[in-house]
Amino acid sequence: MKKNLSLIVLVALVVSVINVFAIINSSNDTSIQAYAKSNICTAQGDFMPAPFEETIVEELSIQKSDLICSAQGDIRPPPWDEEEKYVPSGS
Amino acid sequence: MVNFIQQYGAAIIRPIVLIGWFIIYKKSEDHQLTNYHIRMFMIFLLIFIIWNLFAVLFSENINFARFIYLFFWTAATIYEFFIIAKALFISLNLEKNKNIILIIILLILSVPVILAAVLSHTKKTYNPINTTDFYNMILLLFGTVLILKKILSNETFVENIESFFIYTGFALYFGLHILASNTVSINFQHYWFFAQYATLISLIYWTGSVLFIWKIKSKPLF
Repeated sequence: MKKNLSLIVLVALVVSVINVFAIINSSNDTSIQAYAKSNICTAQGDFMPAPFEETIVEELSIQKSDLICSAQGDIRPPPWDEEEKYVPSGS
Repeated sequence: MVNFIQQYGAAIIRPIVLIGWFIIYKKSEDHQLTNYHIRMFMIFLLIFIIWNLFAVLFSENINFARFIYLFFWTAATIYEFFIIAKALFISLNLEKNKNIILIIILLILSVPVILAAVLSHTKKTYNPINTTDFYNMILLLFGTVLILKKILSNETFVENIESFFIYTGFALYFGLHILASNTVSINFQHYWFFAQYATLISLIYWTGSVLFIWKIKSKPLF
């Protein structure tokens, strides 16, 4: 019983320490990619909070999303526009 | 229609889940442990419903809406840690005279959560809460799996069928949110919608489990 309890406390402590370091690192990250991601909230909740600043990540347009397969399957087929770019060498 | 589901789907289905589980709570036999788990689960749903009410009420005031989000996100996360830690203590028979250790564990786990909310607010970036949500979900999923292991190995499994459905739902919820908050492996742009669908799937599971419990408890299967 004591072993289980010590293990729970240890796991909580280790994860919290890793968590604190990760939080501080991520909040100090000044790269463009991190800045882009930081504007989008991915944490749990039912209503998305407003971004802190205008997002610089390009939104998927309706036209583009129509070309992406979202049905079941393990490996996604290439979108139609990619296929159009392919020109057979014989032609 | 898709836009409506994306925006309000989880917020609408949550009170339905709460009503369903409240009916189960009222109709359940006098099994103390099961009733306790259902009560904890209903409070979890209630926190999100209050959160949503505030989010809708103050949606016009963006700065205040962000503050409300961070406040309720902190409260909900700490409460999730409480549910899982308490259930883990009960399932491992550690609850007797161990309340101080439970409080210490909750305090340790609350530090990064509160720090992330404060840093998000002061540095005006969602990176800290996104990061900590990912780590928290891993820890919560790990705890849930241990609770489920204990529930499944229990002789009174059918009597505790409600707890089984509550914690399998939590495993689904935490597991899917690990994928949603993980910006490393799933590097696509609509992160929030993935998280929202993760919540929707779990809520649909909890709604369906009400029917299963009602069916299982109303008459013998064989």
